[in-house]
Amino acid sequence: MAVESKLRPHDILRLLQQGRRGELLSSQSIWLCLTCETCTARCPNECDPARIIDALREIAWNEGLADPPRKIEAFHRSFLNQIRRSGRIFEFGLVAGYKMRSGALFSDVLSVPGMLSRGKLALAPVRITRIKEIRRIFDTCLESAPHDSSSPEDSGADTHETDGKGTVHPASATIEEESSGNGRQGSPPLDGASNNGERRNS
Amino acid sequence: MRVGYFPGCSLHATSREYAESVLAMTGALGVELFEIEDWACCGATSAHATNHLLGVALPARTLALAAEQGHEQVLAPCAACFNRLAAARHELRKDPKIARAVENATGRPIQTNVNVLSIVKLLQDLKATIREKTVRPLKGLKAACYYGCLLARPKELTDLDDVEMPSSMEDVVKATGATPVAWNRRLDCCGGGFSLSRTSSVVRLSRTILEDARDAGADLLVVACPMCHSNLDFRQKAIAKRAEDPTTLPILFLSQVVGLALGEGPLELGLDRHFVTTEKITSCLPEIEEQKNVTTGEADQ
Repeated sequence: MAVESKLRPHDILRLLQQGRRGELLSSQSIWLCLTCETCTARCPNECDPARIIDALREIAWNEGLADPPRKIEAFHRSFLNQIRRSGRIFEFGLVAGYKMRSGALFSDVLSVPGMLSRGKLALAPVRITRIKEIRRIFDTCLESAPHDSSSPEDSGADTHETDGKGTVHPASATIEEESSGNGRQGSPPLDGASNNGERRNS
Repeated sequence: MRVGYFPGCSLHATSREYAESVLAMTGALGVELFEIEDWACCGATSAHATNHLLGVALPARTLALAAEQGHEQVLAPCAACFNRLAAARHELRKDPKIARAVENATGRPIQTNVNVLSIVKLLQDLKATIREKTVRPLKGLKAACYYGCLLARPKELTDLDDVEMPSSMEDVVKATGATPVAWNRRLDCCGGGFSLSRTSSVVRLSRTILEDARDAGADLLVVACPMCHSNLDFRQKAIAKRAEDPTTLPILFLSQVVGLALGEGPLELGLDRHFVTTEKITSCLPEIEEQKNVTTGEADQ
């Protein structure tokens, strides 16, 4: 992902050494890291940029300085909400939450018909038995984070609200997701929240 | 051989053929899998990218459940789940401060004795058994073994023979009679978790991988990760739309390759659930050698 990022791992470490906190925490580059760990594996000075980038993201997220590309933020929030809600990822619900948050309402992100015909989509979420333990883990972990103004669960969950951040920043617009090139109709936004029947999928 | 089994979310849905093939294959190898009761998601990228403690506590709970349910080792076929479970175990062992915080979050005792196995590690240790139980040697098939990121790095977690020049997956593939090809992109990233949120990056990264495997003369590409599979298989159509070379490349899970060699049928292994047709592979499968070891009484371990 380095070719798509303004700041590459060694740039990030340099800014860190220079104490340019604000610049780092509000950069989009830290959100384009996929944690492929190549930088950490190959650093000649045995630095661990992958861990450092994780730490920067966490600080930025907690302090409300995070400025990730909208779709990436939407994905993280939807993903964590799914875990908090059910203990597991229910992909239909994940996609629904993601679409609402990202505004990518009509992109055929998972090709629902193709997935269904191959038996690849579960139709109802499975909630684990001791979901309270997962809620407790979330609450404790988010509590210990300072200035928690943007914790994932208070952003409207997977309901019909879109989140407030609608700005798309120029740096993220350089490579656009191809959302309409395949001639398929976009599937309607699904509402994971309305479909809470507990069923085991096989 | 009894092993705890952590399927993770993908194996219950979009990668159910991975689960089907893992279960069929381990059954044929005499490995008994026991799904960990009440497991929860490992948190994947989103947890560790936004809250370090959460990224450790979620898999730590699974490790605690595994120990409570009497497992000494846990198989996590998904490379991301494997990586997160192994990372949690590693951190809990080396950092008492994190361990205390995790104990407080999960309300469960810290368990770090459960060994976390990737599918590659499990099969590497069973190479001899695979060779012995192979009834349909995959002779003539040229396979590009793809490790990606999470099976290979960071090296203190992954148990690979070499972080830059691994051969574990190739060794397993050789045991089935297939021939691994030499190629360059086996440790590159496919775009992983950006499948939904930044598809253009996935297309760019995965295309390079597919092209290199094709150039090396591979008949198929072998993966051990549901995200890699989805990016290389499901997105292959989108990739081909722009690439020069539209030749398709079947993407198989390592468990499907081993399963085929052990005599399991393509349907039992879920080969029909792929987006890229696997006909090129299944149409040239040799007949099963009937006479071989129907009565193996010995347990593996």
